Amino acid sequence: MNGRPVLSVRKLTKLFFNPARPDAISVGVRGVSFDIHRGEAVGLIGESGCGKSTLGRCLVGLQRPDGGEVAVGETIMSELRGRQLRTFRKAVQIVFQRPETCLNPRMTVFTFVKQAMRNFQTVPSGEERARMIELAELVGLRADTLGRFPHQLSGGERQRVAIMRALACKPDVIVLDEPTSALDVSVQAQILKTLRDLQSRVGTSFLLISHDVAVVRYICSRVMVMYLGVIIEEGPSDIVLSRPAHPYTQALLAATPRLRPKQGEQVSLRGELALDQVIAGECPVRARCPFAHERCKTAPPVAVLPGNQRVACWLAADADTTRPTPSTSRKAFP
Amino acid sequence: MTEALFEIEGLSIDSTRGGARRRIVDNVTLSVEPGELYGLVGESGSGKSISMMASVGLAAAGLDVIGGEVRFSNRRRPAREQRGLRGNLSHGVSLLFQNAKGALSPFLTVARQVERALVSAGFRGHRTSELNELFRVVGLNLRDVGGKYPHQISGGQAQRVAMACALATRPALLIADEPTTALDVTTERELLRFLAETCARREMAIVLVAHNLSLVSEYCRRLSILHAGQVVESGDLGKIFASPLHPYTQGLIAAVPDVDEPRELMPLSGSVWGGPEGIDRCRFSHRCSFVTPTCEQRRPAAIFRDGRDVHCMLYEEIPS
Repeated sequence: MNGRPVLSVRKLTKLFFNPARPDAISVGVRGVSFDIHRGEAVGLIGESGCGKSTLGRCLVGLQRPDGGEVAVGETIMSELRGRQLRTFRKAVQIVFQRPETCLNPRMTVFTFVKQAMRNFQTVPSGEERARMIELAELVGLRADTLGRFPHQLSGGERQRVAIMRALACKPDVIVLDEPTSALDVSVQAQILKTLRDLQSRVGTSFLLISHDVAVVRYICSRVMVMYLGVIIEEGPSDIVLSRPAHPYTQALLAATPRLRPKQGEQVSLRGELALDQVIAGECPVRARCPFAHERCKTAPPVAVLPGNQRVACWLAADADTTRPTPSTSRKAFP
Repeated sequence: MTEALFEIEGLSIDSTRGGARRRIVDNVTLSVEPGELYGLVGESGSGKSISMMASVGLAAAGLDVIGGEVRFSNRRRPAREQRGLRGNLSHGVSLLFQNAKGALSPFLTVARQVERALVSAGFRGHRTSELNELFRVVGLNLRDVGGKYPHQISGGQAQRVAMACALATRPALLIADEPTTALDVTTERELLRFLAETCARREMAIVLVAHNLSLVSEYCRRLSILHAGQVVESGDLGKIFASPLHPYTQGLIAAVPDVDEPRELMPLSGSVWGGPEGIDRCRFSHRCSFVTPTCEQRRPAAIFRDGRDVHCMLYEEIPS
């Protein structure tokens, strides 16, 4: 991967404290850093409450982070105000899980998407219709759907409209927050295919937030696994999702339903996420990890394994020093 | 083959909502053996929940049961007699819903709710020890969780409490309607495992209603696949997954992304209800790439082939 990243996030923090449960650890995002390059599709996986949606919302400016920075190219979002912030927002767009809640029921698809175009002045007003038809074709909508209202569309078509609206802003990055979770299997497959085609035809980068490992594997070349606000493992999808190094990723993969179930004993976590059992400064997974050890009471270092797989776990840290790393497979982290 | 515990035969239901009459469940037949974990799979709107609910007399308002029969432990009743079918709920059928927190009363502690289920099932004996036992079976501790209200516990715990309520009546059949959809994958796996174990240990049959084929793959031995209110393929899970015969089953399997070996997806076109209305026809024809004129003239018959029944014209002409 060459050149500057399109989006870079440094030590982003946004925590929510629950006054009703003062003993429980705050949830949200704690000090997450990563880069997304042009045309790259990055997946963010984790279970509910791990902070993946909060991270997405911070990236598009729907939530003001407590600390850290989000930068697009060379501009840092937190330093911007007013009109500059508006231009920034054009660069990072979002698609939500439930399209019916983000479309305006009183607008036709055409008016709705036109608003986005006008707002950011991405297209001269004379060329709107042509651009609209081009976009509709890109996301796999028939031209006659442009004149319809949201209630006249199916769930899959509505999600296509939401993707179309995001594309109309000519963004650098689109954050897709669980774009197919509310859809049926066959419709999900249609949308996933469209997303993959889009990726090769438009240069936009994706951040795909999902709890479904298989969906991420299909779309994304790189994946990040999040637990309680921290990224515990990241790397190329082919490596992380076939040879996961972190016990949590292993358990997540083992628990994923499959058409052909895996045989044999699998790693599984103990119980459910209990916020009052997690102590700040420890490895967040310690309370549930089957391999938890005394040293897990201090935060684990990030080990870099061959193939640029980065893991925040003491076990992987051992492997990192003992296993000889072939220099060919080890690339510098961008 | 053992005697079936629970059978639905030719169940048909019309929806009369919005002034128009539409057939939403069309001639659904299935049979569950004692102690079996049976899968019922379909996309949303395929009629899977509605047929299960109607089979225990809980057809919602605006639904009109047209015909069919339900047999549960040798008692046979026409499906139209919804009130009579409801009796099964106190004689050996329990239910488990998707939204466990919504199924529990917010006014009562969870222990009280399970206790109520015990009392309504006519339990005579030492209640506290039975409660203790029920909580232990579902993997909870009565002392830790019993005194809490539903909003104080997690989704997974709530589903376990709902499970304890369902088991309190000592059912012979449990209808689990998407019990894990609201849960995380790790919790989902635990609950499914637990269901499978309970099924084996208590000799209780379970109908697992799911929209996801991968969910039933590990635990069910047999399944039925529904599309637009019609059964398209039903029988041995291993055989169906290894060589799906119905074009819909083939499409559904090809549409599931694979975690281990990513492959190109081949999505089915259209959606469940996009096709033309009409009763005596195959209701998959508008999405099928092998469609023939006969598909729109009559309902495909069940053809027995390689361990399963397939409802498709393609196999009517070809001798097995």
